[in-house]
Amino acid sequence: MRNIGIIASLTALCILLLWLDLTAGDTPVNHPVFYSFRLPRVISAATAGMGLAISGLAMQTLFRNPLAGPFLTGATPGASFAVAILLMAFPAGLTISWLHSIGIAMVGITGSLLVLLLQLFIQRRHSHAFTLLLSGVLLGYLLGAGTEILQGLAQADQVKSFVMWGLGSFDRVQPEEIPVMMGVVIVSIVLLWFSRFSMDAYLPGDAYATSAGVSVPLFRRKTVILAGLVAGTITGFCGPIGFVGMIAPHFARGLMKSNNHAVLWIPTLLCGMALCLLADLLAHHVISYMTLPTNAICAIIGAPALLWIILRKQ
Amino acid sequence: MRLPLKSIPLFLLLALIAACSDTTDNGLPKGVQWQKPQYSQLFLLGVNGKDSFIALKNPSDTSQWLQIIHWGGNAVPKNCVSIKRRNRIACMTAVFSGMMEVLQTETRICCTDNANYHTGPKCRKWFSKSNVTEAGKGVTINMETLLKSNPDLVLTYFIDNKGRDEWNGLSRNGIPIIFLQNYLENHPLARAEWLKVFGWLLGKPAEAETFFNMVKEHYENLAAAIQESNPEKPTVFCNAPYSGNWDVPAGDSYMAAMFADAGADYLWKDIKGAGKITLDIEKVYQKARNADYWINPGSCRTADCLTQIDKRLGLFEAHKTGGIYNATKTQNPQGGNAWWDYAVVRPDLALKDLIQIFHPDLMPDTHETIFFETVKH
Repeated sequence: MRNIGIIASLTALCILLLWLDLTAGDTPVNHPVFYSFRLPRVISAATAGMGLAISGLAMQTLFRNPLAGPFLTGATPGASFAVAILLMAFPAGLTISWLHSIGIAMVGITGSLLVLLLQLFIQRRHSHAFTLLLSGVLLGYLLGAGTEILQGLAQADQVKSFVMWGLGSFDRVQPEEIPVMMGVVIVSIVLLWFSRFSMDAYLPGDAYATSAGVSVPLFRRKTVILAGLVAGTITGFCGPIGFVGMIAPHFARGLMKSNNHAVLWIPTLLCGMALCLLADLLAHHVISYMTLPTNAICAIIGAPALLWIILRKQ
Repeated sequence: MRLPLKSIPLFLLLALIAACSDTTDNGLPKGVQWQKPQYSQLFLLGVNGKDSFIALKNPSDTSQWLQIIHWGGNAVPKNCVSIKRRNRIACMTAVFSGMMEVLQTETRICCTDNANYHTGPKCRKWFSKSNVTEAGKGVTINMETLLKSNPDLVLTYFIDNKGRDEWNGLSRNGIPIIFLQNYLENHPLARAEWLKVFGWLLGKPAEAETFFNMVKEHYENLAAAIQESNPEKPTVFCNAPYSGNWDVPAGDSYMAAMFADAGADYLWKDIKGAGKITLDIEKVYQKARNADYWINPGSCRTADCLTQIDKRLGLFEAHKTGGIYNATKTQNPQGGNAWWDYAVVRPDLALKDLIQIFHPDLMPDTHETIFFETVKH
């Protein structure tokens, strides 16, 4: 009963934030601004929140590490590096019309998937979760270094393009891109949902998971691909959005007082959605005449919240 | 009131310190005759016998001095950057080479950043026929390459303190680094007035003064003519989104001043500050959807390019009516553009272009824009 109450409260919070984000300011619903700009932005914020939260939950389970998230698997650095190559090494590519529209997003997704394939290759030889985490961190450093080199070689306007992309924004998602983003995220979330019992069995250790009938290598492969696909898609479309994937599962665990994935699933998803909607709302309406970077707002909300959770647990 | 005897030695000591000090209360060297510029807030030119000075203010706190440059006969005054020679100059941005070309001193350039960015015809000729070193193709400068070019001094700028610190290595090697922050001036004529700094530094003060006065007179006459005719002001906005974020100049900025002088109603004129503010597409669309003109939409030279970046950019009225103009007419295939160098030293010509766009009826039919071109459908 308590759990249902929490889920109902989180749902009400998300609806409230959706309503506030959609109606803030003096834009009427029948205004062209609403359908062309406001609605796609709010839908992409809600979708990104859900996707990053579930991706974070899956990765924290996979690595058995509460600090894991899309950044630690190399998915986000992979997407960033691929976008950096497009924007800074091959800016002429952007003159090709199809690359302008969802090109950056597709390149981001491809970069993320390539890194995850490399992760899987490493995992085939060394299947320990720690190795996977370590290789993710090291790949992140490697790709970050590559991105920095590209920044050093690029021209000022190309660096600006990349820096602006790195600020993260739900505004850049165009109406026709929403179905692609939502499709990938929702399908991946549903597919990951089928692994919820495997996640529960995997959490205590490989031996326990194997004894419970879980094929550990297969589980790892599937989780890395799906969680990485979600993170890569969102990074590709919206730019890197930090902290949500890491913090939303912690909020859900704190509220539900459980590690059962079936119990955590919906609250995690709702916490992620609420965080992104709140960040989007604050980014657009704290200062009426300007827009703040979404990624920075996520960090401002996320970092103290995570610290509070850690201190409360201790 | 009696002065306590004990305090007399203290007064004497203070008086002695003051007499020995070679700087005044405001931190400038003593005995120097300073010339104040007309528009710029960021520099002073000074002379004291054979000693010459350029005092550069700190743009973030104009009560402080960023650098005081000295050259000439006597010993180097305290806190001054001393210059021994001024023949081989590392010119680290096209804005400066544009000014040097105007003063016919481009042949002193021995090192530069990316040569492709320098559009002045004399500069390009000089770069191609001489061994001008390119010390940076990208955003970073290769200090070793710069050092090997053996410059007498380096003319550069910085964006933040980290950028400034990157030059410390060179100054430790005895090469004077001069930071010319003219990009932070918020009026086109203030930026152009830095030509006087170049004239002073390169021994051509009279030429710089004459050239700037010509530019100033032309600019002021154009602005006054617009003010007198008091035409209906078209609404204008500028720039384009980068990945969903749209930077627009604030109300006290260089572009805002130019729009006002060209007789246009800049939509963000009420935002305080000389920098920029970041907006999202929705906020820009809400305010600018019915604007008459859209100026400098990034690198796009066609309207289709804009809708390829984001289809929603086609919703702007200026996009539908062909009211988009970009300063890309003088852009070379390598990315250099006279808008970034020549237009800084000739803001009068840039203003004339904008007046031609906003008020074609007030311009003679023969005027053809120099920097701006229509973004074609």
